[in-house]
Parts: sequence; structure tokens; C-alpha cells
Amino acid sequence: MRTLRQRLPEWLTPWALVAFLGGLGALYVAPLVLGTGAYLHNLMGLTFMFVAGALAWNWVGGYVGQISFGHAAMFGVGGFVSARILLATGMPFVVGWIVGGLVAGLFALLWGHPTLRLRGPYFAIATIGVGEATRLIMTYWEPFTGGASGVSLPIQGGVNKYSLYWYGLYFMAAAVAVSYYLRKSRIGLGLLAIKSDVEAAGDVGVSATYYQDLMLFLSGTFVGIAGAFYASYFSFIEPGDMFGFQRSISFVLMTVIGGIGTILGPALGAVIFVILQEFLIASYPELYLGMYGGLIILIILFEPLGLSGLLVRIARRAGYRPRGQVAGGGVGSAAAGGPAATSEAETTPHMVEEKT
Amino acid sequence: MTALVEGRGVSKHFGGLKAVDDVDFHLDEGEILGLIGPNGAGKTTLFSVAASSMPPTAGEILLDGEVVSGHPPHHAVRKGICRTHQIVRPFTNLTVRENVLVGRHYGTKLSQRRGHDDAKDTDELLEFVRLTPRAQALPGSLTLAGRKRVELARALATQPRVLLLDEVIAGLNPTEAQMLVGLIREIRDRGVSIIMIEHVMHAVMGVSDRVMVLDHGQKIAEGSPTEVAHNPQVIEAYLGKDEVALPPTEQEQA
Amino acid sequence: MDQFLSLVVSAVLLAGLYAAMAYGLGLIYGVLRIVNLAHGGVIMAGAYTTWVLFTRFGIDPYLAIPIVVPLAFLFGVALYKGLVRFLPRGAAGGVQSLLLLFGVWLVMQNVAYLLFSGNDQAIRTSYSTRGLSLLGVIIPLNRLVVFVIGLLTLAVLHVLLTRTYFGKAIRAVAQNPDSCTLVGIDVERIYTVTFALGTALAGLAGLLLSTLFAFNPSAGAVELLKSFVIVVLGGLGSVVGIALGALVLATVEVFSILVLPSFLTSAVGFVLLVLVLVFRPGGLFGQRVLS
Repeated sequence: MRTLRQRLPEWLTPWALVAFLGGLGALYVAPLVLGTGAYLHNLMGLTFMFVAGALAWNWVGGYVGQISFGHAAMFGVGGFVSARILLATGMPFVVGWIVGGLVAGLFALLWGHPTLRLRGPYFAIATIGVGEATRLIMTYWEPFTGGASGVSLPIQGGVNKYSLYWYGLYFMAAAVAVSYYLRKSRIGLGLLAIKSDVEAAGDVGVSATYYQDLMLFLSGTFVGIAGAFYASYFSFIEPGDMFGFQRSISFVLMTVIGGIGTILGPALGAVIFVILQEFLIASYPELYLGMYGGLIILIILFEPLGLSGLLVRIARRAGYRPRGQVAGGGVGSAAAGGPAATSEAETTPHMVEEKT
Repeated sequence: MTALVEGRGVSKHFGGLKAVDDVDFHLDEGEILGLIGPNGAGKTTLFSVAASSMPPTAGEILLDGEVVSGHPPHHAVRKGICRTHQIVRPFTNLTVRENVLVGRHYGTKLSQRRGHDDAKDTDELLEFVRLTPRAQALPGSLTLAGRKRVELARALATQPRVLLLDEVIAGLNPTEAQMLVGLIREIRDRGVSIIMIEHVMHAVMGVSDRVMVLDHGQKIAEGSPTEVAHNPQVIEAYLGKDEVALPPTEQEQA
Repeated sequence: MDQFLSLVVSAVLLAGLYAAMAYGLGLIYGVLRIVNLAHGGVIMAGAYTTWVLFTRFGIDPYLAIPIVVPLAFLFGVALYKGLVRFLPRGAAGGVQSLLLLFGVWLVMQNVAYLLFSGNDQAIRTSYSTRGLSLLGVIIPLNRLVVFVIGLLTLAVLHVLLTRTYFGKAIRAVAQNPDSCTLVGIDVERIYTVTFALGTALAGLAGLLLSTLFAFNPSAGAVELLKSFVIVVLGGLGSVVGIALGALVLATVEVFSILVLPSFLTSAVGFVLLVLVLVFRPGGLFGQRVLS
């Protein structure tokens, strides 16, 4: 074990690596071992995509601390760019996904770089504007998005729905790995400094603009890939759904309900979101807006850290004491937000703006 | 020999208010320059311009002959100028050690860090400011003196050539103040040049090689501590015209 | 020339509506530093309430103002006392209040879907299609009445905020809540009143909108965004600023119809918002939007 720890980069603990590989392996073989039916199998694949998307949203919402109500814009851009590329060329679909993602990432950078100068609610509302403007313009741009009729992807070129499970799994694994790296590495330290006091951070050499842009680009790219996945999964996309406000809301919902600023949070939130969508909405379709709204209200009032925060509180009552610092340069302390809060720190929810 | 830091015709206006008005100054290598003046004289504003926290309205700041003003603050830090704040601003969500690490990671260029162990250097800095026992604490749980030392260590972590200290001694009790003055001397001995704003007169006069006085945004005096202390303009600036006991004029004497 | 004049008149009339729409949002943000994401929901509720009063009880929409506005006020009181006052104030509360009120908005939408269908509704009175001829331009009667009411609201608000005790207290709290407690102002009460006043204005806006356009439960998002554009354009300084911001937006929108399909008119507002935030972060009249 000692040789392993020495060989790993300072931000990666052996435990984390083991947990990651273990989880990945388990999910990899699960369908083969458990013999899940087609419905559950496909649903899980879709869930993996949502987890990745929620984690990516969190890079801006939680790590940078700016709530975006407009992520559907990247979701849609990724989806349509990927769909168009796959239709026009015979490229393997993964390439289409990545290209779609990168275009979405650049798009995020385009509108996000100037608007990230805004603080808090102003940025949030600007994102509503961006999302809606994108939707309107894209719906109007029929040659690209097909207008109300949308774009259909013939099922071809190796994208059979069965294998999407594993592609979704890799995608989610990548998002988890990136989330972990961003939080534990020196980038995570810098992000926390920016959240604490953006000016003081600048006075010590941390360029807020650079890191915000980086987060925006990464977030946009991954959410774009999610959109591309979605397109391949359903073989049909239309702008109202892809760019819609509902779509943007879903990212906010997943992460807030699960817990902003953590890794477990968005994952939990995404799973719950899918469950709610599939089962409750099938039974009570006329109540789902109210349920989401009610859930958000309850979370904000009683447990701003989301469900993952609730779980941590329960775990602490049961005696679980979080591990202390990671040796060396990693960000091990509680202040990184989320589950492992030390007793010294006030559990300030990461949604709380610490900038003045 | 050109000065390490040079400010030429530096002005900073806020609307109609001339916070800093055409100030020239310089800092030589290895010097400790004291910056004093009554409240509202523009000292912190001058610092802010020197550290690139804000751009000058006119004039420029040069480090080693290279213009550093007008760039974003992190640029100046990389070049080697780092400041502390008048009202302490440690990162409240990071531990003391992590605060210093931020300075280390972000304030230095990669080339400066190559071959160095960040963790070891950080621990050394914590030891230097006598904060090792509190390394895992959050700044909120420290006294004011402790938090000032966190900021100091954090600034030092950026491996500055020039350190701008904004009232580090104010608010400390005599023991703490003495300790900090000792640290400042040690920092200079390690090769960092210092400009310090201070109201605690005996501290700044005792440790500075040279002193510069600002009043209403303008430089009104410059020289050795003794020279400046006896400068009537300086006394007047601090005490006000009526308070200065001028010797009676010849007419009055007669 | 005729067309130009008619466009100008349209813009001015629209501005009256937009201003009425934006006051509520601006007031709540200016005093409580909370962005009321439920603003659109209240507008929608105001529209539906008016509609119900009209279709069920035959009350003319403009005459329903004394019913709808107090109801919206009471709703605001309930909302504040029930939910909003538990949020932390200041920067810390920003994100949480945003999300909380967003949740409220979702619930309101759902309630509307349940009570009414998702179909568009509209109010058609006997005079809906009448128009007046003014300056050689035909002005729909409804638009004129809405404009006049909008103007009156501006006047009433201005007087309220500058001449009455409550108004001055509100402005004091907006500037420095801590000092206010020192001089004996019940800050919580002011917050409650201001919030309720904000929702009352939103309710009024909904009423006015219902006489001009069709609406459905998801209405309100566009109005919220436009209100925000106006608040940013006009700054938080005064109701007059908001009125001016409304004029700017209305003018840009109306004249953009010359070059864009009507479908994209709303997008113009959003683009304008982003541009203003990026290039004139102080709003057109110099208020601080950036920290």
C-alpha cells in the first residue's frame, strides 16, 4: 500500500481509487451478472448520462458557485451538432458525441465568459435569458434543428441501445473522475479561494476569470456530450425539448435535491430525478411540477445541502467521523464542502455566497 | 542603479476624488520603505495600484524596469509583487495551511517551483510565522494576530521580490507587535524588499530605512525616519495647522 | 411616416405595461435583495384570477383591480411570512432565495394546470376590439387603458415612496437595514410590506396582461425575464428609472418587428439583457449590478 500511495498523484488517495474502480467494475458486470431486463438496463444507461450531466452542471453551479438556469442551451447544441454530424458523415458515434460536446463547450464559453462577471442572481437570470434566446433562435433555425419536426437519427453504425449502457457508464466515470480531480487537486483549492474571496484570491495570484472559463468550458462540453448521448438514445430530438426551460430546470433540480457542491449529491439527485420521472410521473403526470417545486422548497428550508447533506448528518449521528486532511498538497479538509464536514467548520452550504 | 520598484506620476481618481495625485516613488532592493500619512491620505489606494489590484488613472508602476500596472492582479503577483490587506482577508473556508498553499500554487511561476517540495516549503513558512500548531485550524478561530500572520505567510508563499504590508502591526498588543517587527526584519534579510503602511509610529520608524509621507493623495515628504519626523509639513499634516506651535514672528516678539 | 408614428405609439403604450410589470420585481430586489423568481407566477395568477372573475362573475377586468390587487398583496404577505422570511439576508440568501422562489413558481404553475387546463385563455370584453383614433393612428382601447393605468401606478408609487412614512421607511431599509432598527423602524414589517407590495404589483400586471394577450399556466417566464431586463436597464434607483427602462425595451422590441419575425421578438429582449450586462453593467443609468 505504501508504494501505491507514493506512485499516485498527491490528490488521489488509494481509497478513492479502489472505490472508483470497484464501483466501475461492479456496474460494468451488473447487467451480465444480474440479467436485468431491457427496460431497466436502458434506464440505467440513461441515468448514467443524467448523473454525468448533473455533475457537469455542478462544476459551474457548485464549484464556481454560480447557478445556471440555461444549461439546456449546451445540451441542445451538443445534441444537434452530434446528430447532424452523424447524419452527414459516417463517423463513429463517439466522435460525433465528442465534437458535439466541444462545440457546446465553446458555445458556453462564448456567452459565459462575459456574463460570469456578474454576481449571483444576476448571472442566474442572465442564464435564463441565454437559454430562452437559444431556444427561440434554434427553433427558428430550421435547416439545423428541423424546427418543430426535429431531427431523426436512423439507428445505424454500432449504436445499439444495449451497448449504450456501457458508453453511458464510461461517460459517467469520466465525469466522476473529473469532478474528483477538480475538487481534490490544486485547482480545487483555487476554486475554493475564489468562492471565499475573489479579490483576495486575485491578490495571491489566482485568476478567477481563467478558472471560471475553464469550468464553464468543461461543464458545457460534458453537458453537450450528454445531449449527444440523449440524441443517440432516443434517435429523435426536437428543439423544444432539447433547449426547453424544463430541460434547464432538470439540471438544477437534480443537483439541488441531491446536494450542490459535492460528488455524491448530483449523482443521488440524478437517480432520484430519473425515478421520479419514470414512476411517479407515469402515475401522476399532472403533479410533477408541483412535486419538484415542493421538493426544492423543502430542501432549501430544511436541508440546503440536499439529500447528500441529510445522509451525512444521519451518518454523523451514527458515529461516522470524516477523515482528516489528505497529505501533501491536496484539498482534504471539510471546507471542500459536502459530506466530509469537520466539526470545527460551520457547515456552510456551498450555495451560500461567501463573496461580498 | 535603477530601483527595484518605481512609481512614476501615479494618480488614482475616483470620479472627482483624487485619492492619489501624481506620486513618484521608488523602492531599492533590500530596502524597507515606510509609508505613512494621516487617515484618508491615499496610502492603501497607492498600494492597490502598486499591487495591480486596480489600474492607475495615470502614471505607471515598474518592477525591475518592466511595467506591471494596468494588468490584472494575479499578473503582478507572478512578477513578484504581493500585498497584504488592511482588513485581513484570509480564505475563511480553507485551513491555515491551505491558505498558504494557495499562495504557493498560484502566486509562483512553475519555473520557480520546479525542484521544490510545495508541502515542505509551506510547512517551513508556517513555522516561520509561528503558526505550525494551528495549521489545520480555520482562520475564523484565530485571533487577529493569528489571521494577520496567515495573510503574511500566504503572501510570502508567492515568493515575492516585493512585499506590500498594509498595517500589519495595527491592532496588535506590544508583544505581538514586537514579534511581527522581528519577522519583517527577517523577511528583509531573506531578500524581500518591503513597503509598509503603518500607523504605529515607533514600529514603522524603527524598522524602515526610508519613510515616505502622503497627505491628501500627494507626497509631502521623503527621507530617513528622523528627517521625516522633524519635517514641519508632516507634523502639520498629522496635527493640523492651529495645533502647530510656531515660534513667534519677529513682529510679535518686538 | 404613418407607420413610424404608429410604431412609436405602440412602443409608448407597451412601455406602460412593461413598467407596471417591472415595478414589483424591482421593488423586491431593491429592498430585500431577493430576486423574486415567483414574479412570473404571480403575474400568471393575476391573469387567471381576473379571468375567473370575468367569466364566472361577469366583472369587467379593469373594475376587478380593487379585488385582484389586494388579493395579490395578501398572497405576498403569506408567501413572505410563510417561506421567505426564513431565508438568510444579504449575499448568503441570494442563491437560496432564488431557488426557493423558483420552487414556489413551479408549484403555482402546477396549481394552475390543475385548476385550469393548459390551454390558452383570453378575455374578450364588449370593447376588446374597439379602437380610438389619435394623431391619425388607431389605438386599441385596451392598450390605452392599460397605459393610463400603468402611468397612474407610476405616479402612485412615486408618491408612496417619497411622501409617506412607509415609503420613506422602505427606502431607508433599502439603503441600510441595520441603522433602521436603531431608529425604531420595524424592519421585518417593512420587508413584509415591500414583498407584498411587489406581489401586488405583479398581480396588477397580470390583470393588465390578461386584457391584452392570451395566457396559459406557463406564462410568466417571458414576463419575468423582460421585467428583469427593465430593472437592469433602468437601474434600481427609482420608479422613474424603471419606467425609462421599460420605454427602452418596448421601443427596441417594437422596432425590431421591422427586421425580425415576431416569433423572435422576445429573444431581442434577452439579447439586449446580456449585452447591457456585459457592456454597461451599471445599467443605462448607472446602477451597480456587478459587485
